[in-house]
Amino acid sequence: MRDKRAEILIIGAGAAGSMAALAAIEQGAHVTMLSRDHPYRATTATRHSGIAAALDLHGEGDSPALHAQETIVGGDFLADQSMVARMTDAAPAIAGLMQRMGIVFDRTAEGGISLLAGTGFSKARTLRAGVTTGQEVARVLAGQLLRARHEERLAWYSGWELLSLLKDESGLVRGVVAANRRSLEVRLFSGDAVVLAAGGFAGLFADSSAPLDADGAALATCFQQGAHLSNPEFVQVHPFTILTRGKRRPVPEYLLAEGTRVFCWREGRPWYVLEERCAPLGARVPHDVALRALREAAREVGDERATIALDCSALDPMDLEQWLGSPQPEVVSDEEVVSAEAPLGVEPAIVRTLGGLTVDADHATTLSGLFAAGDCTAAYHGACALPANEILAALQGGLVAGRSAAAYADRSGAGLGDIPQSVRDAALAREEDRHAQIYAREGDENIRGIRRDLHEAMRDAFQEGIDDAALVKTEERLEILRQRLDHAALADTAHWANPELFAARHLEAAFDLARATIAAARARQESRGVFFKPAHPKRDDANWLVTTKVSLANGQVQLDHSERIDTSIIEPTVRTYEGR
Amino acid sequence: METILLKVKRQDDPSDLPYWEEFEVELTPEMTVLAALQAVGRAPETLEGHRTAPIVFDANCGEGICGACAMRINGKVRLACHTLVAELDEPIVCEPMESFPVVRDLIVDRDRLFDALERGRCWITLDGLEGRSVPDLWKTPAEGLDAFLGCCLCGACADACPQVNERTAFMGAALFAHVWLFNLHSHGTRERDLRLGAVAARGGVADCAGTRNCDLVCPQGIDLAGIMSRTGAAVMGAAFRSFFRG
Repeated sequence: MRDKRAEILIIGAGAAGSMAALAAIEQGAHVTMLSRDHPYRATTATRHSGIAAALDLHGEGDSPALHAQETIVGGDFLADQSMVARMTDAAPAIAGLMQRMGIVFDRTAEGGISLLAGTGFSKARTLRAGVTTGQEVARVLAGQLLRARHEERLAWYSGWELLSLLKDESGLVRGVVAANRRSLEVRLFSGDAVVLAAGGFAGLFADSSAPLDADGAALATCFQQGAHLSNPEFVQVHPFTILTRGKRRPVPEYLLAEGTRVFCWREGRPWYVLEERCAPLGARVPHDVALRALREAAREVGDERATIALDCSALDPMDLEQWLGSPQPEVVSDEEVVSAEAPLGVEPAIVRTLGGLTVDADHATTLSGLFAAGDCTAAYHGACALPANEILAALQGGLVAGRSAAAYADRSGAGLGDIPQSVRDAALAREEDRHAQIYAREGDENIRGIRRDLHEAMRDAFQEGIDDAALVKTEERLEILRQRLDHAALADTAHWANPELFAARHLEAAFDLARATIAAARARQESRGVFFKPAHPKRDDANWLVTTKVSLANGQVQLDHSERIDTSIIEPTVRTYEGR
Repeated sequence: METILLKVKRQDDPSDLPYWEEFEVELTPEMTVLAALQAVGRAPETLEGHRTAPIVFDANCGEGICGACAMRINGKVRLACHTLVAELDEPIVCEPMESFPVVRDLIVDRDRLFDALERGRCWITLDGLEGRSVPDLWKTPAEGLDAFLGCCLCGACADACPQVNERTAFMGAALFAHVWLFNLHSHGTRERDLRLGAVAARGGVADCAGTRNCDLVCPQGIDLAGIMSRTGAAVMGAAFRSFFRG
């Protein structure tokens, strides 16, 4: 019998990490949470597309089964169908939980919960909390974590970042080595199980809408240490983003739900091509479908660069201004932009990654003792994420991962024994040595320049259609960049609060993640969801209804396509959003 | 090539003295202060031609949501990612917020803002994570809530407040906005008086001097002055209730 509570380590304080912490605590575990910053600064806070749950409040005949079906079809049959079904079954309770934690979702005129239409959905099932759903999720989860800390069931280390997983002699993950972003102290945190919830890697692509921190460094580190990746080649491009104040942002779901229309200029007149060809969802078809329809329209118009624009005339001007100008609406002085009548040009941009650590139904990774949830995993979204499922998937993943990690720790924790001091010392020494090496590096190259070049190379490879010959060139570009890294001296040599030290470490891990992503993209010979290869423009279920599994062995990227996709719920059908 | 002049107050670590450095930065379209700081980082050389360390600052979302990049820009606390260079007079002066201890350059330690939420009991006590979603339970009206939503804990309200300094325990208005939101919630009202009691203690609402500076600087436009005056009244109400309960 155990004589103490299980100790669970959680990396990341966004929706998935916070939920995992609460779930593990409820199972009786003590949780130690490491995060780069407070939950308010997590990627979750920027996700404003609401939370999908089949509540069927309007008597439309909605159900979790239909929600699951539309999620699976939206993801072009790459998602794990049983996991999706469990998520959509849990969705009403998860939405209720958010409400019980303190979110007040938007109301109808009669005071009932208001459900919005969402991308990829035939029924209104998106709950929204003003223009700040993601921030509201962060706020109420932070509250629950503070309560747990108040009751001494949670220890919280904000400002710490994962350097490596700590494995014992039998290869079980038993903790992590982390560094403090200010003091640069390297410290070992031991635990009976570790949950990684550190986000996706959209930040690896230049001009994406991802936050600066969202470069997938933690997931890349786990990959380097032996965890397998699934489907990293699926990188989601959002068809409608606008550039405001130097930042690309996707048009939020609520603006589309409230009647924003999308058109392509044709002979000086607007052509509402999506409404014509993708009815009844119109601009709310999954992103890849919209993108392809618009590109086709641009070709027909005879101008590949034809302007795609939003017609916001049906919107409440305040809604639009709030989004464009938030948080300083009064500063938005450009009349053309805020006028509801004036069209707003939009462009496609990378918004998220869909692949990540391979997890099973319990959210266990391929490394014993390591669990994962949220955008650093591949499970629920398949080949295209529906925006209103994003927060939902993070919360569901966190719940499952937190419970599984606690159960695993209860099962095995007592038998694990202490980690030998020699293993602990070696793990710490290895990370301290790496820091010393980075400080000692000499040469004319600079970290920021290499990072920008890497991000641009990745954007160029994935923003438009994917081309095998171009990917070979990208691999060569990457190899040259990686060699340049050996000659990159730190521009900042301070031994206190030095972000460049972390940037250098992230960059080292990023190259392996980038190589994995490119190798996976080269191998897949079809088009599916957001993965579009013009040389193979059709989905090929006979050969490619498989998960791409990627591992790293002796520095070599290895691919495995032997796992067929779970089709226990729906047999793949031709995915069409025309005239439904 | 059009350039702008950037003047940055720097400090190597918490115990060091601050110093100023000036930078000439090439202006790009839609350039934000964040972009200007990043541009310096790519080739950190002062106006006088001295090589220096890249400027260190907090930033993440880049779209005015996460609150990380709050700093004083031309004397007023703003989010660097959401402030256009073109809207500012030159030189553009960046300083760390004054009400928090400086970590390095423009990074300040805002942990106590976050910790204050624990003191204010900014949560709803749940009986468990499981539970049916019963629409009947969802009674809180959304009406009027928008004016209080959106706090990103950037610290602007604390920085602008003359009452936040080494001699007081006052934390600025953010805490009260969070307490107010939880008190409005239909389940949150059960613990309303506990929260009000916490913000009635030392460093609480009574320390507000009513300057309304917080209202002027809040990057999310939250009605902080309204919250402060209502919280003051609510604290009185809670004290009254507690008195009659004995």
